[in-house]
Amino acid sequence: MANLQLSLAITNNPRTWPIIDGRAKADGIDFTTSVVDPSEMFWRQLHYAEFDVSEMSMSSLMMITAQGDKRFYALPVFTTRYFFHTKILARKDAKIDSPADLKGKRVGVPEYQQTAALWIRGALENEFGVSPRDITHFMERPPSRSHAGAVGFKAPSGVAINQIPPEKSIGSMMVSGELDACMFYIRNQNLVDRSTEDLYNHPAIKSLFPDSLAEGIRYYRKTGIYPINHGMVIKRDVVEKNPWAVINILKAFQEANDIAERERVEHMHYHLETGLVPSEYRAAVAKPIITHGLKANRETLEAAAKYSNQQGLTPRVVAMEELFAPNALGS
Amino acid sequence: MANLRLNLAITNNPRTRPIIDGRVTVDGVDLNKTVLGPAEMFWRQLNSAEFDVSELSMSELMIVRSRDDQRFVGLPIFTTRRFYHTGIYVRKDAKIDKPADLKGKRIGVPEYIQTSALWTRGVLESEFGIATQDMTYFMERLPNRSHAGAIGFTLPSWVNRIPPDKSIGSMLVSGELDACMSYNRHSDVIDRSTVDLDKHPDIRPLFADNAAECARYYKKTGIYPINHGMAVKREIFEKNPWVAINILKAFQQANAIAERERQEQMHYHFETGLVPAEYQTTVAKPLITHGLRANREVLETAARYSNQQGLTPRVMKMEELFAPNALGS
Repeated sequence: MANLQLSLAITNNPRTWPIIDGRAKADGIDFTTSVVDPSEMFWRQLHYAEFDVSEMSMSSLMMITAQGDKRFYALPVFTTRYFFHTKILARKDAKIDSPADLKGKRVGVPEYQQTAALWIRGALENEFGVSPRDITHFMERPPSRSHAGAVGFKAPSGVAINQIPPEKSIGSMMVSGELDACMFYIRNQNLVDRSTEDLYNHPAIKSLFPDSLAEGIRYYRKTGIYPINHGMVIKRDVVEKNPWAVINILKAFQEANDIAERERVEHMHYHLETGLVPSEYRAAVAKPIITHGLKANRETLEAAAKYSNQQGLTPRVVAMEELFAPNALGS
Repeated sequence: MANLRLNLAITNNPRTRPIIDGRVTVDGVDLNKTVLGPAEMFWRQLNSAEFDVSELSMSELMIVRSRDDQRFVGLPIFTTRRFYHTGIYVRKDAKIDKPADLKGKRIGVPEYIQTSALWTRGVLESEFGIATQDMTYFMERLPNRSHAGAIGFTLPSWVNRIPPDKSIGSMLVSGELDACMSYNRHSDVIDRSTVDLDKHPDIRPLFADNAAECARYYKKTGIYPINHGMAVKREIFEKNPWVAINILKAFQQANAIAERERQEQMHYHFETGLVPAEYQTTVAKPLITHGLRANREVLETAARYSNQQGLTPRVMKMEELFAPNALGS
């Protein structure tokens, strides 16, 4: 019998390369693969469900699931993570020296519901006591190009979200002083985002955390959480006709992840052997940080679900059992 | 005009992978690729020149060029390195506590002329005062399967042959050898040892802390010993002299991809602090560069060792080894 033909949208990183270049294959499946920027991918998927399988914003997925949208099942494959709150930028003249100083300030965000912003607000509220209601938000993406527009998102009660007009952007408003800070900044070109200024090297702008790497490490050591951005989804009608596809795809991504783990060690071989990186870090380099499957990631996902409800994006805490394909729940 | 079709033999590592998987192509050339282990690759190449382009043992390239064997033209592409002298194993009961104790001992070697053995002997002599003839060698590879046999190299009187029913591994375990260098237990058409020396109770590495010895040697000498170079068949080079630099460029491009990938691969480990941020710039630093200029000192050291050890009758010059149009690279 011929393989099942599925379209796949995916981002480009060491853990997805083996899928993209065909070294890791899903048994019984031929992928037609599109490498797509996440902002655009999620918008195309939420709006038009273009791909059979794609990465998906965990935050948007929780929202549509709570709304009863039954188009997708989640797969416990998690290809990207960041300590998002360490990326907050502020104007040097805005008198913002600590996270608490964000209270009462005008803060830009590409998309209020995006997973990065969910994690940032979660960290601000739970680590630094700054509530979303303390901030005046300015969102860049217009309804026609936003994930919010695609899922009918409305601002949670008590939260101020203004729309940035089409002739401006987070970048332009940060430079002009119409914004005091921005939570998350995207300047890579895609169908959805439009900022172009290099804020990271702009003389009037600084990182909220002077040592953002140290803040990420502090947060990780304290919470054990490495915030997940993307999960994956598969269309429900594909799973209903081919229930086996779920675990076969999960296995392929686990294999791709194993390849990335081996390759990291190979890539570091010369630096460790010469002692340029001391050999005491050999074990740390070999240690896997990213594991797919629900078990290893449940705590992080449940923290995101809790934040989503706390922030009024979902009317209840969405359970993992509502999100993931039933046969992947034991993974 | 159609592309030139060339057969390539290559090993598999982060710097060759972009060539193997086709992300990097050579201008004007279609490569038909065979991924091989080096022992078999060099033997097939030296014995029967099967491939148009292949990696080649630097030590053996020096030997064949010194004997006026015109078959191969070197390309300054260096895909594998190691601190080979830290690959010495000894029997625990052989009373070898330091490198100088190897004097007078019986030492196994897969192939006397292989590059890793050249470097091991060179470093033993220059760092620890042990001359090549201070040890008695036992070579595993048989004449009809060895690189030496393939090029008609006459072994010096201090090199004995391991009989076909034994191997370095078996003789080290039985106590017929005191030590070995360049041990290879990945069985292929050439090598036949199978014992896992790292797990054998009677055997240990010569250097108690190999990582420390690697770092010490590198810090002191700045040398990261090169094993493989590349070579193209002379007849192909003479008809198509442009292939030398086109192939070099492709491998430089593949190397640049490996450099970027290393940093992407380490991203999460730095972000979580599992590897401290102070090593971020070190990890971003390229260690391997192709081309002659960046590698001349290492190659000239190998050429000097080769002559010192009697493998070549004179110190080979880079100009004799590499394609003339790649000499400025």
